[in-house]
Amino acid sequence: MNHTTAGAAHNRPVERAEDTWGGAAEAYLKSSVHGDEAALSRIVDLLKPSGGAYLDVAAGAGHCSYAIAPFVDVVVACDSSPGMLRLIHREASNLGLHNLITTRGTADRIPFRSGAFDGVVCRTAAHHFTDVQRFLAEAFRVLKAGQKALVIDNVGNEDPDTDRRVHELETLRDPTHVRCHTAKEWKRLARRAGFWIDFEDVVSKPINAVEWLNRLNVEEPRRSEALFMIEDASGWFREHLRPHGSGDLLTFHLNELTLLLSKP
Amino acid sequence: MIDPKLLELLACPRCESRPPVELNGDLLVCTECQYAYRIEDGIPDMLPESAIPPDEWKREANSSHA
Repeated sequence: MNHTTAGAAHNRPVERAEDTWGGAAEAYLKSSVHGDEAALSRIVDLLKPSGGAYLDVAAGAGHCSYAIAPFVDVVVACDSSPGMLRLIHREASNLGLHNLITTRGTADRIPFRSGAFDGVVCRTAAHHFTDVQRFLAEAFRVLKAGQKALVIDNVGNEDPDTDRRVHELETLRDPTHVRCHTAKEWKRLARRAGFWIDFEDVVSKPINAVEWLNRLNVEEPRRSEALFMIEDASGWFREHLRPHGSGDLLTFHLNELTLLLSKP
Repeated sequence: MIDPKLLELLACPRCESRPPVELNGDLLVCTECQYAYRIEDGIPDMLPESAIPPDEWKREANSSHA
């Protein structure tokens, strides 16, 4: 989710993000992809949260925050969408997670003090950021020395034509989509921000196409165009998506990067 | 109104040095630029574009006390 954009000069993206995400909050809370227990356990295993303060940047429906909260003193879910934040506020109360608190803010101007956090997580959101380099610099700034940031996001393809097609597909579904950087780009940007790379992997995630479009309530003609793009993919683009089945059972794949970073 | 632990962590997103904010009535006020941020349903709105200029929030505060 993030859903996150810059300051006054980027007013409109924040408003557009709220149009898209505020109404999708409940669908994201129930999403089997975002709520996948194994994926959330892996986040806890990698970050190893133990006391202290943690920050969930572009928290979306709050899944990472709910997973981390039992292990820490406080976790702050930060997002630019009031709809998502109200949902997290409600769910935290329902789950008895009284150490989960929420703040409206953006990833490129994180509204927290330098060195305030013992861990930062940002999952499936950075492809909405207008300036990933600035987000990484901000994540570095708010971390205490020796602590870790975990970034998980869909990645593009090293082949420029395939990368462009993936971007077209993502934008058809979600007008707030900005860009899926490649794994190589992510590592370069992370190192430039000052991070060390502790761990990285890329996995291919199977996705049900209809559920993927339904989560954002994608309407015609964009819906049919997206489904056609998946089914009709050819060449390297088809290799990237690996479509299978049809109709409600149409599945395809997106590549997801996990990057565990540490602040020296 | 606002969790004390959160108040210890928050900073002004308008200022490059990210200085702390202080609770002033119902608002969070930057200790440097003096811009203010509202707290909506217990959630601080710390978007830079949501910040209220000092003359504006101080005028409103003065008129409500008049």
